Amino acid sequence: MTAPLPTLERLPRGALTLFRLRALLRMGIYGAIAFAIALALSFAGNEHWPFLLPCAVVLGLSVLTAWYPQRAHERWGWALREHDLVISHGVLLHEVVSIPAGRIQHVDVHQGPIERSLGLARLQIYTAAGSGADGEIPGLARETADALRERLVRREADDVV
Amino acid sequence: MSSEPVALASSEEVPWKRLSAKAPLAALVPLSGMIARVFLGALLPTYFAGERGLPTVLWVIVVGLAVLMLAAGLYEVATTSYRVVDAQLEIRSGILTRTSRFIEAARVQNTEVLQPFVSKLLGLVEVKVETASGGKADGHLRGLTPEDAQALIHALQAVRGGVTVAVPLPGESIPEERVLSEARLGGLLLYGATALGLGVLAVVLGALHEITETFHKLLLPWMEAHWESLAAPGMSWLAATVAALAGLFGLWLVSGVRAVLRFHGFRLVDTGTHLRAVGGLITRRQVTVRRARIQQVVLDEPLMRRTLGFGSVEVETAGVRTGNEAADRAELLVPVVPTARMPELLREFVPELPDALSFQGAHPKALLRARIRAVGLSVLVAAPATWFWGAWGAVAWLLLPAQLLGAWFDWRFQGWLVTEALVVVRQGFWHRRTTVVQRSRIQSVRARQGPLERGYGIGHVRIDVAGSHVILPSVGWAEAQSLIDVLPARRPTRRAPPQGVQLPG
Repeated sequence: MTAPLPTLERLPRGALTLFRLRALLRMGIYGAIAFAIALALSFAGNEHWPFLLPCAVVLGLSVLTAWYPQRAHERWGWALREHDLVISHGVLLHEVVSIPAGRIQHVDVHQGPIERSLGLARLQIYTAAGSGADGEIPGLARETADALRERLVRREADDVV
Repeated sequence: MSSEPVALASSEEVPWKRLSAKAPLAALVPLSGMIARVFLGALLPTYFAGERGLPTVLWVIVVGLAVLMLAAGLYEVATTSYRVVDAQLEIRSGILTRTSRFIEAARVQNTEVLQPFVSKLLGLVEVKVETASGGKADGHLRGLTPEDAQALIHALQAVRGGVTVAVPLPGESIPEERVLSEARLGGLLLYGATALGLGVLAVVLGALHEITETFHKLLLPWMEAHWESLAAPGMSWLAATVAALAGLFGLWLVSGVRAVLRFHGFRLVDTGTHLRAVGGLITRRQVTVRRARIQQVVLDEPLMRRTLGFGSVEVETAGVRTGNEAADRAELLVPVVPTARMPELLREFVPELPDALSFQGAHPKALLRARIRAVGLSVLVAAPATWFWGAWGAVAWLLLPAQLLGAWFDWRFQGWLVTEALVVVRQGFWHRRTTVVQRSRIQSVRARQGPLERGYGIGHVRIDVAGSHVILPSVGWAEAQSLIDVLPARRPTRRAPPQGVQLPG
């Protein structure tokens, strides 16, 4: 019964930069929130210990930022086959998704400011299964994303769900 | 509308059909209810806060907003018109700002005809037309005459290419139709008594609160007058037992009444291409599901129902419904099915179901995972209980062996089976649910492995169909990955002519 996974296409090197930038941004936001809480606590009468909170948050997130993006980049992969699109990802929770070609309702190509500056795009694949995207591939080169979208939508969907 | 031809006509030829003139009157109660639910968040704290509630100005604003929303809703109902043209249901409302909605007949998952109490008094019905697009009906027409409702469903069925069948009004029957299931009062009371959900608990707790508030002044003097006998040894145990029994009886009573209100006179009939269920005491509800639209069928058999010799069957289409419980989310629910009749009824919904189901069990290491979860849960409950209540709280540690036993039962009696056309998944011992999914309906399959599962080399597989999903029992990780290939039924993919699109590299 065991059938090995197909050979997966890996994300480009630029995706790793994207993941790292995102992690840094996340660290900045959470650090700022923690700093604001610490400031509020110090105004409320506490002495210097509240400022240990943002330090701990930034330290923890720094370790995570150094380790996580690389691992996530290694885990992301996709393969377009005759009958489906396979996406594999996840560091802590590993997930392999198969979306049958005939079930794809629509495909979105999304570019945020960071992605645009790096020439990357995020592909979101929707079926009739739920309200959100059933599959997502971040950090694709814009041309790859457009070509993949074109290939996916040109496979005619089944009439009924 | 009933006299109009069903054949496709151009949009200019088909006249618009208005709702009944009494439609706004029929919509008044449900719309008021909907608006009241919106403002419940503001009104409930005010109710409990008593005199320290909202200031008068805010009350005026809240009531003003509610009246405006009600007026807007009634205006929409009063100006709504519809027609079936070009294989689409077109619904139009508004005069100043006109909104048109087009629902392709081929995309309709199921239709529902409701007759709430007020509508019944006015001789009207509501029609809901569901597609796979969202959490509520895409087309909701309040205040149609029963004849117009029948004609509309008839027209939708005809233009989407199905065999034309006569759709009776709620409560009517056609002699040549085959009755698949009926529910009697005794069966419904048993169904209600074994279906204690959060909704029932909320109703009972609310009622208890009201009773305590109302009778506080009466009860307290009585208790003070009989204090000596009430404080006698053993009376606290007696009072606790009586309170527990009264609470349980209250829960059963409310649950039974809810079941009777929802399913009184329930009847499921097979019209050939469609299944139609009719039932309800105050609000009469008729759901029509096209056989070809069935996504999955769930057999719900909690231990209590199995012991009493029955179960329930939930039929789901791609129409997405919201609700706290699975029974609320199902498009069609057969409340009482005797155990002996279950295979026969299931085969009516999924003819490909094999006679004997030989399930493949969950992975042996899944038991270890279930035990760890049981221990974790028990410690989470029992440790704080012991901390706060001392010796009495330590009784909560009895939860640990119970949870461990439960974990073993759940693991032992779950299983899955893949046939040519179906995936069958059985889960739970205390609350057994057997899900039958058509492989040709699978939207996506995902194999997942959490950190704990990675340690044991196992994973689980989630199958998504339109509007629902089912999770297989734990399997080996290699098998989980292979199942994403095995489970979806292969269909020849129709490709558009090559457009010269190439992936870079």
